[in-house]
Formats: sequence, C-alpha cells, structure tokens
Amino acid sequence: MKNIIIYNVLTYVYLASTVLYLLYVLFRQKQIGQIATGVTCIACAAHVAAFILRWIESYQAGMGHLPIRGPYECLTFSAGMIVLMYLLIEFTIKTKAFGAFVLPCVSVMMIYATLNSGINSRIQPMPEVLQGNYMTYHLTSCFVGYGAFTISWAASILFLLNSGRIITTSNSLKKVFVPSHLLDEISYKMIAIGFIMFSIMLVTGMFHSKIVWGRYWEWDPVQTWSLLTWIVYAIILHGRYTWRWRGEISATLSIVGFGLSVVSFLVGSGLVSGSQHFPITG
Amino acid sequence: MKRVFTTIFNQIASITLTIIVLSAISLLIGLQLATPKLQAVFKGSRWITVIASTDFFRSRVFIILLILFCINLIACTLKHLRKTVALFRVSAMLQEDVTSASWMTSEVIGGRDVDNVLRVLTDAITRHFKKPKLIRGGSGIHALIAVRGRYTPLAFYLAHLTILTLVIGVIVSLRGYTYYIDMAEGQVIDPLAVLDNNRHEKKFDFALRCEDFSTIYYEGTNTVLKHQSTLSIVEDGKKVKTQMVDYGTPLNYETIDIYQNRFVNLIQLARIQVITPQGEKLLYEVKNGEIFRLPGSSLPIRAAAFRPNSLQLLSLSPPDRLWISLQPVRFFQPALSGYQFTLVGYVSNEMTNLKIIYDPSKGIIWYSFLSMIVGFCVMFFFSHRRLWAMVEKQAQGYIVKIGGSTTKDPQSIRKTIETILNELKGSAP
Repeated sequence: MKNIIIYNVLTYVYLASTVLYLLYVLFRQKQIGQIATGVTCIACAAHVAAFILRWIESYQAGMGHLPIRGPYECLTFSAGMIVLMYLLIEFTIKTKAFGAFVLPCVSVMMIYATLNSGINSRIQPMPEVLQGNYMTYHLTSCFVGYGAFTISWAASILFLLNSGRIITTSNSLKKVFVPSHLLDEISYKMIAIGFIMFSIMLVTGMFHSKIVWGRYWEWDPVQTWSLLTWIVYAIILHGRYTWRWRGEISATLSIVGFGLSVVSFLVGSGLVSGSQHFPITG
Repeated sequence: MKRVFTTIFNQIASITLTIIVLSAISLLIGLQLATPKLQAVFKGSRWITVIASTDFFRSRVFIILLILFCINLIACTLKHLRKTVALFRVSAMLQEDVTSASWMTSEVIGGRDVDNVLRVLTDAITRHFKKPKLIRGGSGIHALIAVRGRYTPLAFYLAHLTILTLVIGVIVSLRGYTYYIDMAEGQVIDPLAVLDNNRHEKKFDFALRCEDFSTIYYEGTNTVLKHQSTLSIVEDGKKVKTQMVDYGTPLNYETIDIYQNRFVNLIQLARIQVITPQGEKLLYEVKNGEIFRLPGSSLPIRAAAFRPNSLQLLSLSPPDRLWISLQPVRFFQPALSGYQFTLVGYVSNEMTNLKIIYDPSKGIIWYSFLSMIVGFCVMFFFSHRRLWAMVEKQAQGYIVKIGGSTTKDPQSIRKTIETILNELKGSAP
C-alpha cells in the first residue's frame, strides 16, 4: 500500500515544517518562513496525492470507497483539510505566524494516525450501513468543518497573544503576527464556513439516520455532540451580530467551541467510546 | 396596554433571549452527555444520582426550552420583517441612514448650479459604488442613494424560517412509518399493503414483485459489500417501474421509498418432536401460524414465530409462550408441563427483507435544508451596503454630506466615501 508509505513519510515532513514555523516565529528570519511554507506546500501536495492514491487502491482492493472511514482515514483526511485551509489563509493574508499553531495540530494528528499501533492503517471495507451518498456528503462536510474550526482556533490564539492576554508578547514578536482586526475577521469567517459545513453535516446525517433508524433524530452521542458544537457556534455568531462580540470574547468563545468540536471529532471518528451504533445488517 | 405588549414582544423577539435559550439548551445537552463520566468521578454522590436518573432530552424543561426557541425565532423574524420591508422603500432607507450611518463625512464645495453638482456626484458614486437614485427635496435639499446587496437582508429570514421548517418537518415526519416486508424471489404482493405506526393497514393500488436478490461480497473475502434486490412495481398487470435497490438506493414510487434492509432465512416448515408424559415420541410438521393439538390434551398450540434455529410456540388457552430449539424444553403451564418439545428440523427459504418508508416531510426537510444553506452563505459572505449623499445650498456654496452603512467591513465603505469626496474636490463643479 503506497499511500501508507506516503502518509508515514508525511508525518516527519509535517514535524519538520512545525519546527520551521516555530523557528520562524522565534527568530523572525524571512528565509526560514519561506522554507517552512515551501515544505508545507510540498507536504500538502503529497497529502492530496496520498489521498487520491488510497482512493484508487481501495478500488484495486475491491472495496472502492472515499477514504474517510475509520480513525486512520478520519485523522489523515482532517489533517489534510487543515493544511489545505491553512495554506489558503497564508497565501491570502500573507502571514506565516498561523503555521506555528496549526502545524503542531496537524503533526499530532498524523503521529497519532501513523505511529499508534492501535490504529489500523489498512483499507477497510465500508460497512453497508455507512454506504450511500448522504454519508459521503456528511463525512466530507464534517471534516471541512473541523478544518475551518481549527483555523479559527489558531486565529483566536494569535489574537489573544497579540492582545497580551495569554502571555506578555514582545513587540518584536508581534511583528510576525497579523493585525488584530484581521485575526478577528479570519476567526469569524472560518467559524462561518465551519458552521455552514456543520449544518450540512447535521442535516445529511439526519437523512441517513432516517434510512437507518427510521427517525431523523436519535439523540445518539455523535449526533448530540455535533449538535452541541453547532449550538455553541450559533451562540458565538448571534453574539457577534447582536452584542458586537468581537476581540477577546469572540476569541475565547471560539477556543471553547473548538474544544467541543475536538470532542465531537474524537467521538465521531471512533477514537473514544460513544460512537454511533448502527443496526447490523446481513 | 400597547406599550406592555410591545415590551413583551421585544423581549420575546430579542436575540438576547435566543442566546440565553441556546445556552440553556447546550448546558442541558452537555450535562446529559457528561453524566456517565461524572458518575464515575463522583461515585455515590446524591446529586449525581438525581442527574443520572433524569432523561434531560425528554424532560419538560428541555421541551419548554425548545418551544421557547421556536417562539423566539418566529418573533425575531416578525420583528425584523418591518425593518426589511422598509429597506425596499428608498425614502425610508434614507431616513434610517441619516440616523444610523456607519460612516459619514461632509464637505463644502463650490458651484452655482445644483444640477451640475448632482451630476458630478452621481458620476462619482456610480464609478466607485453603484448608480444612485435621486430624490429631490422640496426644501432645496437633494439626496442621492445607492444600494448594493439590496436583497441580502432576506437571507436572514430564509435561514431563520428554514430552521423552523426543519423542526416542523421532523415533527411532521412522526406521522410517517417504516414497515418491513419479507419477499421470496419471484413473489408478488398484490396489492402492496403495509401497517402504519398505529398498526392500521394501508393498501396501495399497485403490486410489488421481487425479481431477484443477491449478496455481493468484497473480492476474495466473506465480508458483505452489499445486499441488493431487483424490484418491480406492477399496475394492472403491467410492470411500470423496475429498479435495483440496496441499503442507500431506494425505489421511489408514489409516496413511498423502498430500501433494501437485509436477507432473512425464514423457516417455512418446522418439524417438532413431542415426548408425551407417557414417553411416546410424536413428530409434527407445522407451518408458520398453524395450530395443532397434542394427544390427550385439547389445548391448542400455535407455531407463532419462526427464527433461525428456533421457533416460538404459543399455548392459546391458558396463554403461555415457549421458545423451542434443538434442546428439549417444557411449558411452565401445569397442563402442558409433562410434554417435552424439541425442534428437530426445518425447511427454510432465503428471503429479502425490504424497508418501506413513508415520510410525509421528506420534501419539507430537503428544501428547508437547501434554503438554510443558501441563507447562511448569503448572510455570512454577502453584505448589504448603502451609500447616500445629500446636497444642500448654503451661503458659502453647496454642502455635500456623504454617509454610508454596511453590515460587514465598515472600513471599505469609509474608503469609498473618502475616494468619492476626494474626486469631488478635484473636480469642483
């Protein structure tokens, strides 16, 4: 399985780019930043290639499904989505400071997926109950949502660092960061994208639930955690419109929302107990 | 009285209430989800026992909060409706803008002819924003107003109303039903009949025929890829629709969707050995639902339910149930307790199990979902921007006041206004 080899190599490449981004933030050397971006771009391209390869290999193995099933695929796909979104932001607003927060997350996910012996990296057959178009949209939107929330979290952390709320940040360090209003705007836009994606995820999940269980809503742990995350982000968005929650409040709440989305991800991808129970068919 | 009503309505329609209700809902959901973990941490605690015994999702408080959320959603939508309708009247827009402009500036410029000033101003606004509409005032004050993203406030209604219709759809869906049916290859059910949630029979004016069914395995393994059946809808003896169904691909016809569920190995005929109290061995062959009587006893026994490797016997009078399998078993009923029952064999037939779903709200939920996503996208990524200019004749010349309001990115409207003013100064009419 070539894709597994690529994913294994990618883990070390992401670790290298994490170190490079951290060095960039610490020493503010432009060249280091450029190398970090270059390495991440190559890693992202390789990640996309590995994903496509795994998809092709799943067909060659006679299983033929989008590789977003099970903890291994969930972690690698989410990591890829986060990197892709991060690079879009980096090229849009021309800042590299985000990398020092986003890439460590990606590295942790990749290390957990590739080096944990408890996670099976082989392509698994897609259970009959998880087949169908609704599930494809459900899972894709879900991981795009997680990616957006991760970027929003990184923007919020940077915002709080900028404001000196977490630690007293030196002026020279602030130079590598982005202006606060821009961070706030990025955080908001990413929350908006994540919220839309989570809405798609919730409703397509409802349609699938109707087919499997005969009911749209089941109060299943995964459904409920996702709903909770969705509600918290809805509160943040409403607060932003009404009470002009901007800056520190918005950043703090965004971090809380991200915490919930992490729990939702862990429960949904089967990394912790409480996963969805499906009736056994066949 | 009207004032009291207005105050109450404003409170119910406030987004503050939305945030409070949503926070309370998320608190209850969080509590329910965390209960198993809390139980492990605070073992034996009285309050945790109370929490653990409460089903928050079906509690009165939770239902009240959900109702309150829906009421708040309706009230909030109604409250903003008046404002949004006003947005479509230019004069009302102008009135609102003058009082609540995001950014406003004024400049005194020369020029003798008001029409000339208005023309230059119109050109500048058209170039940098959008062609404005002219409102000539009777008191010598003239106004120009331009709007971009005129209909974007409607997205607010779309998003809010569709959340409501989604909730309504889920409630309406409770009127639907899911019915399971077993079919053998080549079997025709004419007419197709199902039982709804209240166990009432519903007959359709068409028949369902199972052409064939098969199991597809992942190559070289025993793992099932999918079960699939080919079904035909027959009306007046003619096949009107034939389609293969699987777990995620239904056959849609009239109001129902037919999905593949699973395959079942149904016992058609069971062979039961009965050992009487006298030690006599008897062999019975019974079909599903058939009633038989034991020798020396007038008590009727029905073969009530067939499962793989087991069969349920039902003593009708006095009532008693007994699952029999390959091991001999006895009824508890004293009248029958002397008899031993063993399932010694059966003739089974593989059948496809189909899931028939009637969902009256499928359309509501589907279109609500699409509208909600469109609403969210417009709400979050498109802005409603207005720019206005007022021209008033004063002793020192014409005073031009330019203001603007926007739902997003106030910096951009400020820059636009500054550019227009600079241009105006550069080409003073």
